[in-house]
Amino acid sequence: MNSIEKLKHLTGEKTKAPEKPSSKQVQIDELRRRIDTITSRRLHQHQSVSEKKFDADKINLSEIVAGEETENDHGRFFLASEVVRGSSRHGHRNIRETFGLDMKAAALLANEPSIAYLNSSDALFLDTETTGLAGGTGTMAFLIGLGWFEDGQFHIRQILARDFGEEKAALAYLGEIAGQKKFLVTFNGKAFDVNLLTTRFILNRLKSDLAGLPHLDLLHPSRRILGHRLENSRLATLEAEVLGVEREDDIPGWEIPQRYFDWLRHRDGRLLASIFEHNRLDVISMATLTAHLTEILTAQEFIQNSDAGDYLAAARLLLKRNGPDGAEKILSMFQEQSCAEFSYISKKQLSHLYKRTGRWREAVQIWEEIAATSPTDFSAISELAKWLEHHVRDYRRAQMLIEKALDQEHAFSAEERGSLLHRLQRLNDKLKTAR
Amino acid sequence: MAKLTLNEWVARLKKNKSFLHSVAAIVDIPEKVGDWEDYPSWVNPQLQSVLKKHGMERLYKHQAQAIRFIRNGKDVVLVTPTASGKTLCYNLPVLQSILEEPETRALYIFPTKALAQDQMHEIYSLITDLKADIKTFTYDGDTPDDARQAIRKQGHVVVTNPDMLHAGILPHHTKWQKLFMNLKYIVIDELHIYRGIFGSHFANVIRRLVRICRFYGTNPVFICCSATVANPREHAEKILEREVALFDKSGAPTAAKTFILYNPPLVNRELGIRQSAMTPARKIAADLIENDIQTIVFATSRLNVEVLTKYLKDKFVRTKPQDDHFVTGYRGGYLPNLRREIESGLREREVMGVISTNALELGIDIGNLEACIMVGYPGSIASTWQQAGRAGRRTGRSLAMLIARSNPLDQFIMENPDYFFSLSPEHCRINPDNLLILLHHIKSAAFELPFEKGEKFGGENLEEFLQYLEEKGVLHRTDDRWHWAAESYPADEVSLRSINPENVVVVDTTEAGKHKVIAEVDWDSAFTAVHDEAIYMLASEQYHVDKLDLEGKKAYVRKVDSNYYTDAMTYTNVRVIDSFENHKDAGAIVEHGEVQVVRKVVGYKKIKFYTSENLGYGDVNLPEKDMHTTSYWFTIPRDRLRKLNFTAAEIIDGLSGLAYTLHHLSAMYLMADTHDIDRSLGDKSGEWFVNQGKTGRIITSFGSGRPENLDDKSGARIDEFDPTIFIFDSYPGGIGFSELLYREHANLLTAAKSLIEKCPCAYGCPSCVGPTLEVGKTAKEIVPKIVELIIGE
Repeated sequence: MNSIEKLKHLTGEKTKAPEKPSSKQVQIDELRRRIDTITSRRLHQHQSVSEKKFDADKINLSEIVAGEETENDHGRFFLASEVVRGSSRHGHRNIRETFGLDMKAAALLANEPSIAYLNSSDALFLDTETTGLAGGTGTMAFLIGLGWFEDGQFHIRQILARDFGEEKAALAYLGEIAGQKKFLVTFNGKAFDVNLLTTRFILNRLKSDLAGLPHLDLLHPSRRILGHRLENSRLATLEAEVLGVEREDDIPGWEIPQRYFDWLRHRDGRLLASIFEHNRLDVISMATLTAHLTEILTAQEFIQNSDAGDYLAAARLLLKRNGPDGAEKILSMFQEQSCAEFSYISKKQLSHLYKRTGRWREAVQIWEEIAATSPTDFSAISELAKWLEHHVRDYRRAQMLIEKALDQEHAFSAEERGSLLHRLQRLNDKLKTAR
Repeated sequence: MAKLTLNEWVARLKKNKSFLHSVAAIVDIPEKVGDWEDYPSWVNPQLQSVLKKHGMERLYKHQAQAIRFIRNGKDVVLVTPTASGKTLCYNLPVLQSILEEPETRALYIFPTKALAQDQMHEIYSLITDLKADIKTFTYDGDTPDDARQAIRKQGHVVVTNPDMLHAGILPHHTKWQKLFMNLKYIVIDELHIYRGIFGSHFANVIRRLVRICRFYGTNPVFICCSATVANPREHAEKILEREVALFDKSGAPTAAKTFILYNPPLVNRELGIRQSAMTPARKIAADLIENDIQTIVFATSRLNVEVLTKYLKDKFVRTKPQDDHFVTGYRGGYLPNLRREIESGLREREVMGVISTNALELGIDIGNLEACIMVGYPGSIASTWQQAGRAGRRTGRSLAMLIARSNPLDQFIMENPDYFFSLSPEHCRINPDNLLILLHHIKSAAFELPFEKGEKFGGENLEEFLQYLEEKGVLHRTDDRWHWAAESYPADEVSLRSINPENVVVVDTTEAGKHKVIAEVDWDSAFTAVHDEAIYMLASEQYHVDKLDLEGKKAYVRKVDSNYYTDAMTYTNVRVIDSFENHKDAGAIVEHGEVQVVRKVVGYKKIKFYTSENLGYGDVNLPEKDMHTTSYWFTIPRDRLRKLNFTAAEIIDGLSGLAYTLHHLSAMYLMADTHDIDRSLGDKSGEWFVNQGKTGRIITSFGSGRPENLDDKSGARIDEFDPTIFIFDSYPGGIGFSELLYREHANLLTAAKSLIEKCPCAYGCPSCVGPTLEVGKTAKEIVPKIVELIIGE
């Protein structure tokens, strides 16, 4: 028995009786079944694919995806190119609206000051499709989706390594393009895509400076600004809820690796078509998401498809990065709005922002509104009392306010009651010495 | 009362007649003078002065030689005793290189986290005194995420363990580019631990490590340290797959050492029960500490450590009430700060007594202990010398005492002091080309770097394996390279300590509604450890197995308080598939090779604690287990056996007894557990086998094609076949044990004979031929005669 036969015995694999179909046949039947389920789904609206069942003829990739074989010093790979016109629509926006990003806002979102001095045409949008999420040296980014602004249009390139042997050429091409750009925009790229690509460059013995480029990873600012009203921070959720993008028959992410492995064995273009589409939409969505987020930061008025909470979150971010002046514009917007329709939490957050930027009149107005409808709201009462005590120095009014609140039985927790009593005590002392 | 010096104390002991009555051996090992050399001229002057400040005025001769070899790029293995300065042999060259070239990197591999931390502390203190910008870090499961990136890029010396290397570092090697591109030294400490299954896995992890170094263009020097075993160079060369220079002559001076083997007296002669080892242990330890003789006590279980610590603390609470640390316990599980505190207390002689499990066997210099008491045999000669080495580092006299417990291994040592004091018979054996183990690591290696045609990995035909994995769908071949083509992460699929990673999970159902997992048992042991109705023991608690769910891989247990434990009864039969080597001895044909083993757990015995009485039997219904592995065996021609004037039944008893003895002796030679190997007595052609049934010996005959149990021994057609004793590896694919046993055949048999003849029991006992219930009353008498026949005296 040779080693492999011994091994099979050790792992308990028994040799089957001849009347059963060979394992290879079983595999092909299984694959056939999978391809059938795939092709029965409708594909991208621009491309019509006949829904006939899988037969012995494979469909070439170039017949189903708009792209062609490309060559460079390191070999060959497949490249799909597209130019998206400004008038095209993606969700709520025209593509044109994504040009001319406010770079200061982008720098703020990325927490990367150097971006403020760049142009939006210096951006490279990047998203990869990989053979697994495990990370480590055994995972390959087989499809690299790129996007950038150029001459009033949005260019897309999708670089496919049709096989492991094409990876080096694909990466070299990526390196060339990245070399002409000055910053990256990704979604979760800091934790995943860029690490993975850096690993692949090293394994292919190619130099790369990808990890050194300034990087706007949209995941973090999205979570900060939009997370308050979304159930999770996945790009798909953001697309649907905020950008207004609806995908039809999108391939689920978890199916992608196996699809690629099937492609390696059978080379039928239909296996990859929906991955290209999925990746393409990801890249465009990142562009419109960037536009959306920067617009919130620089808004002069409430824009469509946004929520008061978004602006409040943005204001907090601006406050953090730029100090009290940062949130000026946004807070001015709020000043002109009635906050009656805002949620309780939003009102509180807004009042805190007003307070921190010295807009006492507006802050007090909110607290009084809250106290009017909920006389036992601890934070409103406390803040009003503090304001009366330290700013207006009307100790009497403060005292009356607290006493009235404390009159309500069972209104506060032990801690809250304790805090109010403490404040009351201090006010009483001040009133005594004043006499 | 005046305090005695250790010399005086030992002298007094030697005059104590009642003590001497129970002594199995007293050996006075003379002191050894040191053999020194100057530091070589190339050693950085600051480094020299720091080392001198740490007590190393000059180097020991073996240190000087070793570092010269290392500087010339030669791989070395150091087998000098505890406290001979092995650590310096690697810290010096590593620090020297970093001082010369600041980008130099080194990787230190230790078997446990506790040991890794201790060593880190050691090199850290040298670096602090050097005032150099050298960074060392441990990198293991506990390393916080935010620290990891910094360690990868900046750590000059990275300290890790085999599991982390296997699953955390190698599969992410691109993140460690800086380290691998500058890696000059790889240090492997406690090399002897990497034996058996763990060693076979570890050798493959090293293969992957070397492969990755090659990718980055480096060829680091290996510096290995091992405890004293019979085959350190062979072992190192097998793991590293390259030539290694051996340094086993220590130049360190050692104090004179008195080594005592003490066997507590019998309290029940008939049943062979002895006084508990804890009794003399605590009396002697207390006496030593009272005389201001700094003592370390090793116990074999945490429970015993706690008991001894409490006793000794209580004893001294009257005389030294303020001092909580005068006597202290020590465990690997203690936090590093506490361990540092105890160690410094020992050095300052504020702590006069420390009681430990074997944790301190691995650990750094703790100063000038004078006495070491070992309560129970640590399991191997190597470990015993490591523990004993903790006493008496520098001057004067030191004392080491091994106090035996009642179990067979301890008793064997007491009865055979020569076994202990002569050249070690203990071997480290591995089989890195075990097909199952190799396969796992080929997968892991393919994940790390694609394989290219013409590459070699292991001793088998690599391309066959790659094709096999291609068929399985995990690899994809493009041109002449095989790439990893699956979503999974192969390093997670293998445990370095077992062959079959699928474990059976033990679930405690004692509390209704609050089931919890209390342990995992590997698949190969599960049938004997957690069959239905078994008593499973964990941390001194007993659990009854209510149900073993094979498909779900779960064993459901309930806490009980029983007065018996269970011992599974397995029917084993062995068939020879291939004989690798054979030779004819005077009285037998000796071989080793590949076998097929079929084992079926058929029932269990209930055995009472302490008295070892048999309380009854139970049936078990489990499927057969069929595996291929390697074995050593010998066959005795029946004509020769006929010359002895015994009945066929008696001969079978004798052979069974011999098989038992050889099984246990083999485990000792291999520093393995008795479960790592197994035995079978039968006929080489697979026609009949001897197994232990409920009512005694069962002969299972396969002559008619189907197994047939013959209760009547005399009816067994033993006269028509040549009996064979098999000692085989318990794990599929073989672990490398049988080749050694084949080579040691004559020694094993001689040792067996000597053991049995010297055993003080009447008819046989677990220390020699096995319980008389199993082997019959005449076994003890017969076995030596059979052995004489085999080795031709």
